[in-house]
Order: sequence, then C-alpha cells, then structure tokens
Amino acid sequence: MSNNISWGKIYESTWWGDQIKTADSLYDYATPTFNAPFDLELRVASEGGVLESTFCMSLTILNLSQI
Amino acid sequence: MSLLDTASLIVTPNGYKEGKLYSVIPSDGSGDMSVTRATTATRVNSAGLVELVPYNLLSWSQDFTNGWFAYLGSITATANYGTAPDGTNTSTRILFTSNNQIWAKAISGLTNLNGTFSVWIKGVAGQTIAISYGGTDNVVTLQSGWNRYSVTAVGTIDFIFIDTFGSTATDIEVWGGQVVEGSTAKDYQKTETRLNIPRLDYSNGTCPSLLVEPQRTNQYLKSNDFANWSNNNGTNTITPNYAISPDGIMNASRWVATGTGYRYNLYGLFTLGTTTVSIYAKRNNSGTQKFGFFLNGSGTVDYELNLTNEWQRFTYTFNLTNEYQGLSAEVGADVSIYGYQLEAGSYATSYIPTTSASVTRNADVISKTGISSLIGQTEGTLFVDVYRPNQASPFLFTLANSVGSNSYLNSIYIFQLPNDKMVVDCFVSGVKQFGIETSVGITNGRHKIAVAYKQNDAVVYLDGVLLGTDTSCNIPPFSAFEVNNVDIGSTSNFDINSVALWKTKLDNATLAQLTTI
Repeated sequence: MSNNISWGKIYESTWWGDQIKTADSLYDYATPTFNAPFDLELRVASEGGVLESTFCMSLTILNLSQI
Repeated sequence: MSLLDTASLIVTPNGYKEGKLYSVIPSDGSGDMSVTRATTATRVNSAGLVELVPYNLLSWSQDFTNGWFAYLGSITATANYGTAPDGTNTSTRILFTSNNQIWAKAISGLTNLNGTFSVWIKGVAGQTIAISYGGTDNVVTLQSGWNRYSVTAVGTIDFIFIDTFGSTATDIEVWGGQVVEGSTAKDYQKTETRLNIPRLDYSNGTCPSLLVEPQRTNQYLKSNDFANWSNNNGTNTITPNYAISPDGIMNASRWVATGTGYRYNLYGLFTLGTTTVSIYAKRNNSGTQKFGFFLNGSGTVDYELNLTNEWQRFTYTFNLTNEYQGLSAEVGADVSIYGYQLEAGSYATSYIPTTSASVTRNADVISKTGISSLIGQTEGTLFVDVYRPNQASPFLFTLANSVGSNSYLNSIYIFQLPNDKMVVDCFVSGVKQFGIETSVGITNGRHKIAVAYKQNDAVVYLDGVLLGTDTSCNIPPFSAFEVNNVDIGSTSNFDINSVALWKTKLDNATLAQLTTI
C-alpha cells in the first residue's frame, strides 16, 4: 500500500522502518546484501528453526552498512 | 561499498536450530555454523527467565513413532502420514483398535513434577480423545481441523499418553508434541534429539549473545529440592513451591530460620579444590536477613548474601576441603531460594538443574569447515564482538585449515588466556609467524577485536585502538573457523555478539571504526 508522499516500503512491515531515498542517498537499501536478514528469516522458517530478536540483528547489519 | 556489502561471512546470534547457528551472510547456508554440546543446558531468555534449552522436554516432537510405544492394546502409528499444521508432510496417524488403549512415551529431564503436555490433533469433529501428562487424563472433544490441546498436572509418573480411555475417537492425526515444566503450554518448539542447541542468552542486555561455556558439573543433588536435602539441624523450615522463581514457575522455596543453623545435602564426596557455589535468592521481608553459604563444615554463615527484594544470583569461590557444604542462616531470616549449584572451577557457569544425580553440561563448540571460499587466503580480516564475564574466563577464535586438535599449526587465532593477556598469533606449518598481544588481560565486559592480514602485513585492533602490527609474516591456507577448541580443553567462557569475515585486509581507519565500542 503506497502512501501519500510516494515514499515507501517493499513490505507491509519492514525491519528498518520507512526509508527516504533521494539522489543523494549514500546507500541503496534494496541491495541483496542489505536484504540478507529477510532471506535469513525465510531460510530459518523453511527449516523449522527459531529466529529471535530480529531488531538486534537489524542493528548489527545497519551498523556495518554505515562503515 | 560498505562493510556490509564486502563481508564474506556475518554470523549473529539470532537464527538457530539443533546443531546450527545461521549466518546472515552468506544466505545460501554455506556459512551456517555447526554447534556441538551433546547435552541440554539453560540460558536466560528474552524475558529474563532461566530457561531449559530446549524447554520442550519431548524429543522428536514431530514423530510420534520415535520412542512411543503401545503400552496397552494393539495400536498402529504412521509417521509422515499427512499435512501438518505447518504445511509439511509430518503428521503422524495413530490408529487405535478399541477403547482403553494407550500410546505412550517416557519423558526425562523433569526437575519439577508440575508439567504440561500439549499436542495438535486432527480427527472427526465431535469425537473425543484422551491426552495424559504424568498419569492425569484430559479427555478433549475434537474440533474441526487441526487444533492444539493440552493437559496440565502434577505428575506421578514420567510418561505422557495419547489414549482412548473414556473417549470415542480411534483414528487421529497428531503433530507438534510438547512437554514443558509448569502450567503454561508455551509456544511450540520443534525438537529432534534436544541436544546441540545454540544458547541465545540475554544476561547482558536486551539483545542476545551466544553463550559459550566449558564443561561443568553441578555436583549438588536436588538442586532445587531444598526440603529433601539430607541434613539440617532443626533450625529452619522449608516451604516448597512458595514463590515464582527465576525460571518463571512457582517452584522457589521459602527458608524461615527459627533458629541459627544450617541445611545441606550429603551424598558423597565432591571434587575437592577450587570450587564455586551459587544460588538465586531474595528476601521475603525487611527484617534481619543473615543468610548465606557455609563452607567446609562450619555450619555458620561464612559468605553472607546481600539480599534484596529482587532475585539475584549469588556466587562464591573458595577452596573446598570436605563434603559438608550448604546453606546457613541466623534466626529471623526469611528467604526465597532457587537453584543451588556446586561446580569445580573458579567462576560460576549457567545453572544446571539436578535431581537424583549430578548433571554435566558439556562444552559449547562452534565451528565450520570447508569454507575456504569465505575466508581470505592471501589477505583478509577477522572481526569478533565478544562479552567477557570475568577475568578467569578464556576465549578462543581460530581461522585454520582444520578444526580440533593441533589446528593451530596453520592458523590465526585470537586467544584470551585465563587470568592473563590476550594474544593474536599466526602459525604456518607450526612455525610462529607473528604474535601480537596485550600486556594484561582485557577487562570484563564487551570488546571488539579485529585482525587483518596479508603477507608481511598484519595488524590487530582492540576496541578502536591499534594493538600491534607485524611486517614479516607468511599466511597459512584457511578452510575452517572454530570457537572454543580441544587444544585449550574447550574451556572458553564468554558471549559472542557477532563474528564477521572479509576477504580483504581492511585499512586501519576502517578497522578502528569497526572495533570502536
């Protein structure tokens, strides 16, 4: 579902919150690497594993994306 | 390009299953860590509660033919019969031939007879089937489709049943069995062997760390059954199941000191020498509360616990010289207690529940072989984010071309020695190439360490600061990564927040930024 300022999210709920991407954005948040946590979530679910504290994982990933 | 884009391996303590800790990167499974412990254990969960790992005491929870047997009657069970609630073909069909038949499985690992058995069942709506925990039946009426049913009881036997006593159904499908201590069914947790499960521990904050501990044995029997300890001098009364304990269940005991004296459990000789005792405790009122450990047969409070109204875990390390070791109090003390532990060693490890025998928790070993494609061969960077709980606790991370004994002969490792300095060494065919070390051990708490390497150019950063360099070294081939190791007796004791690899030697500015706390 889009919103009224046309900035949006790939999923109905994201791990990162909504992002504003402009021509000056330093990072492309749609890269496969940045989406690795989503891939992990699917992989864990498909194998009957457990995923905990995804927010904490998102912080680690976000920190590495800024260096 | 950020470090996220260029990392070849990122492992965080978030995704896990039996024997596996998932890597975030790569996402094809090639970086998933193998986890070995071969025993169950406990952790502090996200709610701050002491929890068995796994809390589901039922092994092979999705196979009702594994360990199950017809206790009464002729019963046929077929695993992988139909579609389960999770969409997989893992339901089990149980076909009874008459009433008064029992499909049974023994349960081990119970430390409390108060438990709950839950299971998904599908059958003919309106028919009934009995499920039983510890000898107490609950006849449930089946609803349409898959539904989860449970029975809670104070058990008298260590068995669960699915049976047809007082019920009408004879042909059902079942899936997702679970047995937990206490009266709450809890979210379903899939099990197989129940061993080798990584422990995500929340002792250090709101985010989990991977708990890595050495092998330890709780030598004290009946660790949470204080009322049945063998000896007391008649100066105290114990009320079992008096308060909600640190594991969230009403299984803490109350100690009221009607006089000054002691209570202990004597069953044989402990391992003498450096020993650590521990217990969870809190005060029940604001009066005088002199309560603590008595040591080596004194019978009096040798180490007083600084009690508050909140649960705390108290530990004390001393030289054990005889088997007379327990708890003592002075008249007036009114205390809630839970989880006594006596272990050989100079610090306490996670709680190991015991009942009629001592219990050993094996060492946690995390490793991965066959990942030469993920480790920089001619140059690279290893980064670890760790939490060190005490000065006696060592840790070891190794990049090598094998795991296990003598893997250090071709390796780069980060090794915090117990009560000593931290060293980062490199060996090629057993010949030391470089050694960069701290002058003293790193402090307790969180640390970020990175070692970046290529031929004649190695550098180590610790918490944002350059620790040392080496300009005359060769680099061995790498194909494996290991945490904890038999060469140090698998004695590591620490928490891992994250591990990452890059196949390039990161520059110093980046290493400083990466390792800054």
